[in-house]
Amino acid sequence: MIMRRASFLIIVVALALLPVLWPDPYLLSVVAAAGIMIIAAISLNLLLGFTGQLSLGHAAFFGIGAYTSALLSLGFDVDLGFSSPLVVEPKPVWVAFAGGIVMASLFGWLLGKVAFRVRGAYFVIVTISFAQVMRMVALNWVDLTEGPMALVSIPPLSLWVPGDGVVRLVSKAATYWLVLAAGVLAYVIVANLVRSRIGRAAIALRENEVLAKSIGIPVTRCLIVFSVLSAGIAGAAGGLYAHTVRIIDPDVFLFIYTITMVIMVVAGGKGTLAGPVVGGLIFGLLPEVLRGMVAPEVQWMIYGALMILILLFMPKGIVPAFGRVLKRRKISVRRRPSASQGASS
Amino acid sequence: MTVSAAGQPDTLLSLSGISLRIAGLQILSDVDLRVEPGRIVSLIGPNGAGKTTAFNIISGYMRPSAGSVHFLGQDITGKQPHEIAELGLVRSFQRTNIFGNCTVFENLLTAFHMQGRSGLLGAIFRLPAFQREEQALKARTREMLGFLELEHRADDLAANLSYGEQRLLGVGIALAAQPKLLLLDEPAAGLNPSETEDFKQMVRRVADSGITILLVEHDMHMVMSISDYIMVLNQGHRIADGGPADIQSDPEVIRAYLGSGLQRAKA
Repeated sequence: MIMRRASFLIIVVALALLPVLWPDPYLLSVVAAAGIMIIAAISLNLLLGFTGQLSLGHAAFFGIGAYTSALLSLGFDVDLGFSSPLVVEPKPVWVAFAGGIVMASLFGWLLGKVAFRVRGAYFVIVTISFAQVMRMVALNWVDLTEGPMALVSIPPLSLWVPGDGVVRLVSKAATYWLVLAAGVLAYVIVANLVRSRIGRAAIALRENEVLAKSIGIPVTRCLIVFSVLSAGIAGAAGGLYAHTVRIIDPDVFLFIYTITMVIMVVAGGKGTLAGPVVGGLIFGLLPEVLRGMVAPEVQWMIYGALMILILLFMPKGIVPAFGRVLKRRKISVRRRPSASQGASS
Repeated sequence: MTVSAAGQPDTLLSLSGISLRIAGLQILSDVDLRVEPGRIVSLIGPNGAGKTTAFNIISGYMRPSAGSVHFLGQDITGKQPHEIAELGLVRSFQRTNIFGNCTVFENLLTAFHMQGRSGLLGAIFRLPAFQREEQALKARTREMLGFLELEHRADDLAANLSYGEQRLLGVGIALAAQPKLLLLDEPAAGLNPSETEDFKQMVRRVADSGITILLVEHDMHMVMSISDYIMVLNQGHRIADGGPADIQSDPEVIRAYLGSGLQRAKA
């Protein structure tokens, strides 16, 4: 427990020091971009890994968060068919960001309500359709979203820093720290959640729904809570994306983003806390690493081959595979007490 | 409702006129049953008699076509399984009775779900009330491990337990839900004679701790030696009920079910 906390803190501090030790703006922006996808993967893991429900429309929550946050911070007017158009003045960026989370959570609740009545393959289809519908709305409701022309000059998030006053978080290092802070927060929320009564209830229904009901776990309510939280965190990732990249178009709803999140979660180890982080680092950074080395076609082939290899040799993902190795080593140390005298815990 | 001197209602569970028809097939017809608190009641009968179906109806997994189920004087017909569990009526299952990919400790800790109150915010912010509750639940989990004599298996995955240990854990999970009435569906199926004997002792200990038990079981030796009251079902009908001695001498029960098995039970 203490060991776990200490290693977690060491990793966070090491990551926070990266812009100081290695102030390469390209590197920082690449890691920050991967970080945003990792936050999205963490949110997907909450549903896929812990409740066992495969949502293939997770990019929708990401996109809803991004669009809501961007639109609220830019302000918009839209004619809903009433006598006067609805006019929304630009809101402070953090308010807009919070609005994006709330809106995504709301859709998470809605989807949870509707889709958890249908399970398995049907749930997957509902989630795919949901993301597609959202993409169509973003493409075609040009009055609101500018459609394929994209929303541009989205204001960055800002922070009040003692001494410097209000600082706009636009530098690569600031963006990196912002994403890191959000990522750590998302990780801690998920970690605390799954190691609690409600987290155990979710795992119970993943493992054996019939038995979970028999010990008084309200399955539907539990699924909806997880769906809302998962959508909210995905919405926060979307908001971060909108205010750091500062331009968004309907492509944020593309299926490929959902698939990327699923790959990160499954390769890293679904249902583990570190899984989406490890998977996200590998599959988020790999394209950038390969970019300088080989042709684009070869990049994707390597990407695919690596994925197949990981799932072939570590079907439960990277994190559980390494967990097993560590455990085996611990056991073998315990069996030879003379070799580990004095060093034993 | 009459209340006995002990302050408990005379009837814990009552089924009245329960019938179930599925696709023209009469699974249960007009079954009545009263379970009094503090007893071990068994439901026996040949395969396909409707015993497990009766369990599914009582615990809310199926809805009867006619009739009603009352628990603690309250009509529970058609309630959700988790609502019925909250009232203190908990069941175990024939096969799917554990959370395979969790450790034994986690299995039992999860099963204490209803004994916790903490919510989302408490969990996310690790509030003091949440921490206290977690500690309390973990202490009760260790206690339950002791009762089941599974302490040495606490950190093993439930899927890796032996069959007998898995059955034991299944009952532990049901017990952790703090039932007033525990429904056990063929708990001794597939156990060897010594495991069955251990299991019987445990059922006794559970009953002695004040939990009423309703049992479906094919092991007649076990049924006859621990039941206070037995109901025999055959093809969805109740054909007899009474104490073990009455049942063993009932000609219709012998014809429909016991047959040569009776000799084994007496032996």
